[in-house]
Amino acid sequence: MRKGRLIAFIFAILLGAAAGLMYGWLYYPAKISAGSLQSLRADYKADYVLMVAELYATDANLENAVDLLDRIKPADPIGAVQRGLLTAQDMGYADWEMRLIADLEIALQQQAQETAP
Amino acid sequence: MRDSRGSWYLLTGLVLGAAIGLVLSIFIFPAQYVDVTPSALKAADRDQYRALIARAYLVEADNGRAVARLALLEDPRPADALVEQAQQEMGVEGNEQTSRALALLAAAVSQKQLVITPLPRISGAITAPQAVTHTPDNQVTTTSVPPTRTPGATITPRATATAQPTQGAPYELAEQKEVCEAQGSGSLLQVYVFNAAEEGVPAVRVEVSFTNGGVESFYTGLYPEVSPGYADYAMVEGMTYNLRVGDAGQLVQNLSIPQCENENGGTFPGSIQLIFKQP
Repeated sequence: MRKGRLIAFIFAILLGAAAGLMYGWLYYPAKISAGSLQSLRADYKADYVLMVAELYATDANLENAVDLLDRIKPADPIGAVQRGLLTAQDMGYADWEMRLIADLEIALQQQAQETAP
Repeated sequence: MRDSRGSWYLLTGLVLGAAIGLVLSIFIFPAQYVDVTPSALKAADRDQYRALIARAYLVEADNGRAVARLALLEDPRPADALVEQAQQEMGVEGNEQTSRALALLAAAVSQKQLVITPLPRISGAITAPQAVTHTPDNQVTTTSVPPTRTPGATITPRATATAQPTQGAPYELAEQKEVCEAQGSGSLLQVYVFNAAEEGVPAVRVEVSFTNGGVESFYTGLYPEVSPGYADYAMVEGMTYNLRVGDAGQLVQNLSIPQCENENGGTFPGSIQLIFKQP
């Protein structure tokens, strides 16, 4: 009898834990806003990259552009722009927008080549 | 012998398990977010996204696009969120441009007919001898452009200081008066900035300097409910201020809190109203 109660107790704990995990992973996240710029969907990231490219086109401040790109893909600004470029292409961005993003990528690659050992 | 302890141990197990599950799922192994929309961003990232939208707005001058981007954040009152963030950015050194952009976008959200001049792009700033091409399999490759004959010497455009949108002739003081209103609103420098067409101008920088050498700045457009060209600054008793609107506007000197008389013959601190116009 005692063994039966122990098994039922453990089973109850497991059932409660499963309910707690489901609440924490499925319901609770939907109630809070905790996403980061890194977790943005690809199309929003592409638009983000476009905005950064537009800023770069007016101030030619590559350091600022890298700082902004770090927020969506840390330590890989070129990768962020390349990914944005591909998504922009898939989504049919205008030619001048593609050109702006491409110009930013070229500038980043130039900088990477200059700083490479 | 019958066990008379009942089934409370099952409820205890459920509660214990639920507590363990919650701790694990919220604190130890929290859910990883992927492919979120801007509206699901945490507060700090929302602010960064909003600031980028505002700065891009200065470049594009496309009200519709900026408003559509702002809508992605699903702020209950987008203009209020922009104004609040503009005020926060104003206090951070080096963020004047962002503060100005936020204020200007707030004005654009409030006034659909507002049109700004886009910032000019620096042509020729990027002269890389490479071209980016997209192959059918979506791989980005860079290829060297073959050398060509160098054309004759030309003047290479240089990067210049970022231009400010909607600049015009320097603002001149058109009217200055003391305002003696009901007590409680504080002593304010109330600044109104109008263009030559008598329209309020948002996002104009107003600089206040003190006799002891300190300088502070603020921008018009943060109170569109008063006027898009309105801004105010809280004065401190005993201080004397100089004020300039825009980068080359007329300097108004020796401003201090005026003393107003109430019905009983007593005095209370008043405000100063300054109206600037472009000739």
